[in-house]
Amino acid sequence: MTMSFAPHPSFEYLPHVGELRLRLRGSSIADVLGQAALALAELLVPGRPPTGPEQVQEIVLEAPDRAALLIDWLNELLFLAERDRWLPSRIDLLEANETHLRAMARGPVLECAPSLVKAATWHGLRFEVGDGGFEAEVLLDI
Amino acid sequence: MSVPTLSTDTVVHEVPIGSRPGMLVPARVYADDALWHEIAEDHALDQLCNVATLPGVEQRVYGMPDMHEGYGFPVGGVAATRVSDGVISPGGVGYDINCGVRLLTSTFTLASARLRLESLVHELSRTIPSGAFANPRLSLDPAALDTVLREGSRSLLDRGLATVDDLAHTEAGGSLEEADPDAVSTRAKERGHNQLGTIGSGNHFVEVEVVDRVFDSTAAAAYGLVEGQLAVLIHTGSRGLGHQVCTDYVRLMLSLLPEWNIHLPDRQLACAPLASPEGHRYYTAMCAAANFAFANRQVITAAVRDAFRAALGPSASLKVCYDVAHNMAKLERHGGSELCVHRKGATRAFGPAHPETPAAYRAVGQPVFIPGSMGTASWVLAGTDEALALSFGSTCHGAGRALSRTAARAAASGAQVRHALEEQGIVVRCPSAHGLAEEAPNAYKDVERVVAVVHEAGLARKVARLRPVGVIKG
Repeated sequence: MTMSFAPHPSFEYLPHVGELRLRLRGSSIADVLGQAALALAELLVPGRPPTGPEQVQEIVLEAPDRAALLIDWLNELLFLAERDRWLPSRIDLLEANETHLRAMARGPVLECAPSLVKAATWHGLRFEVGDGGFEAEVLLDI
Repeated sequence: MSVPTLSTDTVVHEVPIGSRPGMLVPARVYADDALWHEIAEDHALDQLCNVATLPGVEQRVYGMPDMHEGYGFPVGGVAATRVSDGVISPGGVGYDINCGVRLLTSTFTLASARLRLESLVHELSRTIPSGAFANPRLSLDPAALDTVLREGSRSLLDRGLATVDDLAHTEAGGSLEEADPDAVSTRAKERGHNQLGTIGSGNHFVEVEVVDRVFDSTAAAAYGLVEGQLAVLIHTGSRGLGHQVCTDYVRLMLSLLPEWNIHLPDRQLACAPLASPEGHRYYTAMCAAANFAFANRQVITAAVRDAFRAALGPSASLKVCYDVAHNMAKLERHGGSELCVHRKGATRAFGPAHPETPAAYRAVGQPVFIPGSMGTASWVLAGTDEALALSFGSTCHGAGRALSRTAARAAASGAQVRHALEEQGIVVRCPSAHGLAEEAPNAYKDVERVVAVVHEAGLARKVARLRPVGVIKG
């Protein structure tokens, strides 16, 4: 599955007095993970797709369950954004299931490292499957 | 939250054991009626009751009057756990380990510097990297970073970025000796190596203040504060390095909870027995990250001094009044027991008799700084001896948020906030219009009420009120 910095994202921000709660929807685990990456990019570089010389990174993660996988995925992207000043604008989720993810992510190297989001937290975390597909909620520490 | 509460005083609210399953101790919140109703509107009280279920939690958990919903612990929450059979929780410290506040006092009055205020704020914004920017003048190699993690502000003496007097006026001398750089992951070090001396984003700032009114002349004299004087408030923490330390250890502890037979109502309360190797390792990593934060505020102090000299002349000098943490777990003795006191969005506030109160402040108690918002007052308070029995020697840490960031942005744009601040005579520099809108003064509770509660409850007492005249936001 390929996700791009898209004009029609399936995520929304929910009210939280101190931090930022993110609700994500998708037809599959991979879809939700892709939406999570796009939501994070929108938060870190608001309003426009970031531009700059492109870099490609392969990301492989293992986690005990899909909710933990979502946290690890977001925290991995935050780590890369800060260490490498890099944010994916296009993600090929080559493998994604309940406990495993392999992605090839392409995106620009930024002028400076975005630091708005400190971490994805475990508080109120959910990643459920229902009739309409998958839905997840995650709280980001701002 | 719908739990039975008892108001035992005008500013004391108790939630008894049994209000929620698993509570081992009662919860106490310090708040007046208006603040209490605000606190009850979100999930902060639920979160405080969850904290009361932590293994080894002692006596009571406390909510400060600026308490609001956080993640795991509420922001403004205090909990002590027994070292012998209790746990340490990274969520009780937060991702921004040793986020804290430092006050610098200057030799200038607002009247003497008013004409150069704009150029001073410009110079500060040019000298101190904020928002997403790293520090181009101070990137540390691995050995130098380890030295900072081990020694904190003390490591900056040789670089000419700190003085012995600065260290004497910093909590724990700006250097926690239990710190172990080896307990900090390579990933954390990769995030932090070029961030020393940077403010970061969110609610972090450097503000130029004027001492607006003195309430306690004896304590103000001890702290070097006089009405009309210019001062500088610095609010930041351990940056990406601290964030990664918390991320790493929450993940590790979650995987080991079944082994320790610990069951939690919220995964963000992930914790480890203090007596376990993992608990000890987190504590030493947290101390290392805390040292990084002390050093961060110290490097910013050096940059503030440079900016003052550039804008106001080579004789400009600034003294460190004090530097306090408000996201930290500290090993302390209370009532004869050794406890690990978690303060998440709460400030240590020791009185005159406490041995950890700095020598210069033994007559009056340690200084405590309570930032308001960028358009409202900030406060200097003094710690009290009675706070030890009331809150493990803790008080509030700020005004506390009242509006979500989304609601704040909907209420006013960044340009409108900037205009309103400039109308008040406040010079503003902020790289992000979004960020400015999210940190608007109306996004916060009334700091005057918060301070009035801690004063009335005896958690700290009023010393001086500061008014912002220049703001550099992260």
